[in-house]
Amino acid sequence: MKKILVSLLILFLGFLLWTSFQKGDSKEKSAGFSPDPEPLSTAQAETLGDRVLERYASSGSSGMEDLQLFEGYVQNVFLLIKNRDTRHYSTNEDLALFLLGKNTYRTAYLSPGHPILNEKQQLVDRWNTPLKVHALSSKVLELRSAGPDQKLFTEDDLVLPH
Amino acid sequence: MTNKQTRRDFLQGAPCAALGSSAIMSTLLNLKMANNAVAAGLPLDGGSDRKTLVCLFLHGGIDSYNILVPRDDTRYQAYADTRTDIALQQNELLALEQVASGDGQLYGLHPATGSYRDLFNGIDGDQEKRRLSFIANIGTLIQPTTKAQYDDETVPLPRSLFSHSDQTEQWQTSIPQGDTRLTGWAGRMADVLHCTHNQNLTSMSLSFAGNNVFQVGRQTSQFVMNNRGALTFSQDDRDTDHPTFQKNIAVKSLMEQEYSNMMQKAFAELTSKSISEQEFVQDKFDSLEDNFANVTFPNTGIGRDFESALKMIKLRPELGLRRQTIFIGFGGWDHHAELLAPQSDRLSQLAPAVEAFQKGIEELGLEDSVMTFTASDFARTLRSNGGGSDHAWGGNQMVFGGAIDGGKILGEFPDLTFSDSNPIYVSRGGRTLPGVSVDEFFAELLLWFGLKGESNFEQVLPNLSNFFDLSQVNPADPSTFPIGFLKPNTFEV
Repeated sequence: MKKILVSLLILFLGFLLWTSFQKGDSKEKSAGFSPDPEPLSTAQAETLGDRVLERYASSGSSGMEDLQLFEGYVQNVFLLIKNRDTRHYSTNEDLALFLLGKNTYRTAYLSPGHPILNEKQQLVDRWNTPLKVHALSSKVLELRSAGPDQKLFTEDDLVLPH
Repeated sequence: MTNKQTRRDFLQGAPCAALGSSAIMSTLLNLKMANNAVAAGLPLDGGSDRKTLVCLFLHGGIDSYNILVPRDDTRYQAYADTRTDIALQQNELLALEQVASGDGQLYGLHPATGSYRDLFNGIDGDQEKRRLSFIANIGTLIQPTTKAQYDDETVPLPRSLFSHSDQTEQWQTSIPQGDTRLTGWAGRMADVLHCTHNQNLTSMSLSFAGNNVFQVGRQTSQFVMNNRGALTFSQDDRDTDHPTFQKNIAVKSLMEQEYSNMMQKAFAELTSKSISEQEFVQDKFDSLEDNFANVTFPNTGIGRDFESALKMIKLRPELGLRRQTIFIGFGGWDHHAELLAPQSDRLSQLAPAVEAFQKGIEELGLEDSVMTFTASDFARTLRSNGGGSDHAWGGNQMVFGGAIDGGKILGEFPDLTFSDSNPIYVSRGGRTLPGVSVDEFFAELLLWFGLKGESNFEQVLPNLSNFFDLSQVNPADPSTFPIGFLKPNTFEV
């Protein structure tokens, strides 16, 4: 009985995965990359970033934890968007747009009002300094926070991956 | 140049096939073909000339719009307005004197590159010795591309633009769309030329910067050395109690064992062959006195690399090489944080080494048989990020040697006025869309180097036909060359 239940559960999960994959796939086929994403509606549903980055820049975390959180989040978005290229996100501003919906799926993974974004729609650290985005390769995006002194390329900078 | 393969092309290619395509034809048949070719007086391709192509790779993405700068008031002002706090001062630029057949514009060089100016204007003021030209706004492309096509993505674009490792790789493969097997264009060229031009005593692909993609071939491999010579196991002059010495003895001893297992045997044979080759090269390297050329190299890492490269060029006859490529790397150009002072510092190290190298070449009388070109991951954004510049695309590269029609700015140096309507800028931050593809650059280098036959060019530069029709090349007329930096009649087709 137990085995049957487990098998049914696996089948059900498989089905869910398959349907979500089909949805993503059809989006990929139907929508080519558009440089100008459609404006997001104000009543838009919660995005992945809203959840994953909930603790970003909170009093209970550190600057490095913020960066780790953001790096993990970006990696997860990259897993979801396979059809992408570094030219779409090789700067802070481009990465922000990419996460806001300027990507192959035209899907927002971050809400415009999220605290990680400043008024110029740049990705910022907890000290409100724009993060430095550095494309080392198609797989590795180096992220640098200027740290408490708010000056990039100084000793207190926080950098990931190390 | 036509598609038709001549009997000569076929016979020249046969020995290479014999050595490299045993999976396709039986080894015996191939060996027979090789024997027949040799018996027929081939290879080696009948010539006695020697040529070396040197790639100076500037790792990190050099800001080449601060190397070559517009110097007349109007164009300089556009440059200065765009670059703001990372612009060089107009009065500190070193004046270039273009030849009459240049693009007719005024240019200056970064103040730390006096040796480039001398190579451009003429060594020791001798205009007959103009050795250097610049290729403006060159970069990786799959096919000619406009700003609208870039924005709309209606043509294939190089993958992973603005990324260090991917763009470095693409400059070295010249296949920006990627390939199923990672090989470099110099490696693929060596696959074609090595066995017809060289005696197979050692590799024709020599690297002073560790392993690289540039020289990886399908059949040929690169030989890595440092500026003290080959990476040998011998180290006879070392302390015999040193653990490395003991380790090397153990490795050599292991290789000399008799193995019954075929895999072990093959590995031991391959390793032994590699050790023998290293010792052979080291022997030749040590045979040259320190004063083999009457020139003093700077006592820096890059200076010593160039000095050792010059040694290996002089040793071509002893190494059995009529064709040779040399890869030299010099990094530290990724100037995000600050551009002006660090770039000046790097150039102050590089430029004297380049000068000593070319002077050494001239001193040895080898100027017509050595050509050096620069390459880099990408150029950098024209706009300042607050003191530094970021990853971009098209940039300026130089090529120098005796076969160069020196004193020219080739390609099209763009109008640097920063505006949305300027068709040269794509993406953000002042990234220039290349006007010349790396394929055109490399094709002209390969014509000089002696690559012949359209099928060979297709193998080495598969995207070339998107930019250039090789059948139009007339060696006597530089206007028919892919870019036009070679002197007339410096190669045959």
